[in-house]
Amino acid sequence: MILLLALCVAGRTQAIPAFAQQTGQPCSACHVGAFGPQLKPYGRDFKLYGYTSSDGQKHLPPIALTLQTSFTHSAGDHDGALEGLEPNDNFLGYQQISAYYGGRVTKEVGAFVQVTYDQVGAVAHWDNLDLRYAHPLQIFGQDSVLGITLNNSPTVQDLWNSTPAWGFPYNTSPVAPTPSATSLADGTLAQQVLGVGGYVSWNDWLYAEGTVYRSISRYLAERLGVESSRTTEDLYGAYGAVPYGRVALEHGNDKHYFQAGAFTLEAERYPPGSQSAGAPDHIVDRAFDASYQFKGGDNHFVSAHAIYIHENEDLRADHLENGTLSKDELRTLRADVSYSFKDTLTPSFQLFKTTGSRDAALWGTPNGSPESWGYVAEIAYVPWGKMRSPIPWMNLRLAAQYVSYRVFDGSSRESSLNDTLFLSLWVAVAPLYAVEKSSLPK
Amino acid sequence: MKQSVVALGLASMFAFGATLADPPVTVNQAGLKFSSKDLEVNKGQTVVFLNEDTTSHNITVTDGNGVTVNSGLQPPGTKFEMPFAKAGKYLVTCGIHPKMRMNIVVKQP
Repeated sequence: MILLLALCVAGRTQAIPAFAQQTGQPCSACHVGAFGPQLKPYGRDFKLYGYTSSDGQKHLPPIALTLQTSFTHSAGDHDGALEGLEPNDNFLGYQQISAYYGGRVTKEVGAFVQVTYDQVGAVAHWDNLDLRYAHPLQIFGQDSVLGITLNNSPTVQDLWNSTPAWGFPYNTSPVAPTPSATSLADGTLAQQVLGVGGYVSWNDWLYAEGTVYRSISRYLAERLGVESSRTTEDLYGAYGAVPYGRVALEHGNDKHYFQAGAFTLEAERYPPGSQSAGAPDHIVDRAFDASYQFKGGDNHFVSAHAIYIHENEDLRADHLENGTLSKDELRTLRADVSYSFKDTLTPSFQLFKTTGSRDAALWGTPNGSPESWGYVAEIAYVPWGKMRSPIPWMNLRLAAQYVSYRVFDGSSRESSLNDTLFLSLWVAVAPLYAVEKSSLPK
Repeated sequence: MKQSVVALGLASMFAFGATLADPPVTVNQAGLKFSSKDLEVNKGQTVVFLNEDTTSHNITVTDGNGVTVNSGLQPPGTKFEMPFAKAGKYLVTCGIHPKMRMNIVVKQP
């Protein structure tokens, strides 16, 4: 079960040299540590304006490929390993292979489309999707942007790395144990829904967005490879309309950047096979987040994020069918800081804590408590992706990550058996960018 | 190609009509900003866009009819000269950095 839950949150990707191909800019122009997905101010602008910014040159289609290779060691062995996996010390030669279309479609329309093959799930499936239309204009005499987004995961469209879809850690082990209790906003809906929304950014100060999601049909999910890569026990079958609202304030100058915001996500869901049971469960997530970034010349970049998610669960269906409490709540707090030296060496540290009401039938933990807390320490090395890097169409990231639990699934006893060392190599190439470069006159 | 023809046409018009034109005006690009948010020049006057950033830019000048002149990739330390042969309002942006925007009004002297 732990392993299956891990599959749901593993493998977030996104550093693609196809964006470099379109803009002529190195990875470090947009990304902290010269490798995605942590965004600098220009990276946020690029996304805000719909991935359409361009160097004015004609380019081949912005296609990119990534490969992740990893080794995972946990302090203790774990039951329930999937076929082909060991209870511990798993080397995944092709943990995740992804292909992307990333960039401009028309002058005001752009796309980030990712399809992925997971070695653990042994399945190809659709992954992150964010199609955008962005139109710059003046509102009350100030520079503004109006946009539309079509995406398949709440917060995948967000500009800040404080929110779940692109939050730290950016690469996680798909075979490491992870806590059972997860809020709706923390990736539970990723690739299970499709949503359309509108956003506005006003005067580099106010950002507001509203999006409505719906579950994709089982027929579509099967064809997009989603169900077979995830546990159906966790899917909860179907969601009704899922409204998502987001507001953020931001302010920055050449050195400092601040952002503070909030979002809300609300869903009605049915336990598996129980859609005729009457009233569905009603889940409401309210989250507050903040970001800070400091740019110290060309060599130093500090970045910090924090998020608090409070989830209220009115379990009308689950209570009747599965014996859960009628109401539960879950609170999640995470805060991370990273320092990037010359966009090459980036140590990061995160504290995380989840607490909530005790409900063994809901969380599936031995004592019913959803509590887990601990830290993540990581160091990443990215040799390329800078202005003077020798191969602009290729980049790679080597990382060592350690996850430590002081409490895991409600218990501090033996929680350290879940501590995990995760070593990863992440390679990104833009093959058509390479073709462009090779065809240029010397 | 089309953009080059437009630029060439604008340059030719400038060459024929600017014998008494005002001296060029320089707009700097530094810190991912234009040095002026709004600028007024006279018809026939040239604006020199100087890239003082450490990154490349891509000057795009659009007139009221949507006709665009594109500088192509402008590396750091280089300049792009744009003669304005026709009165009107122009929007100048950087194709790479969408928040870089300025307005130029070209007046009939």
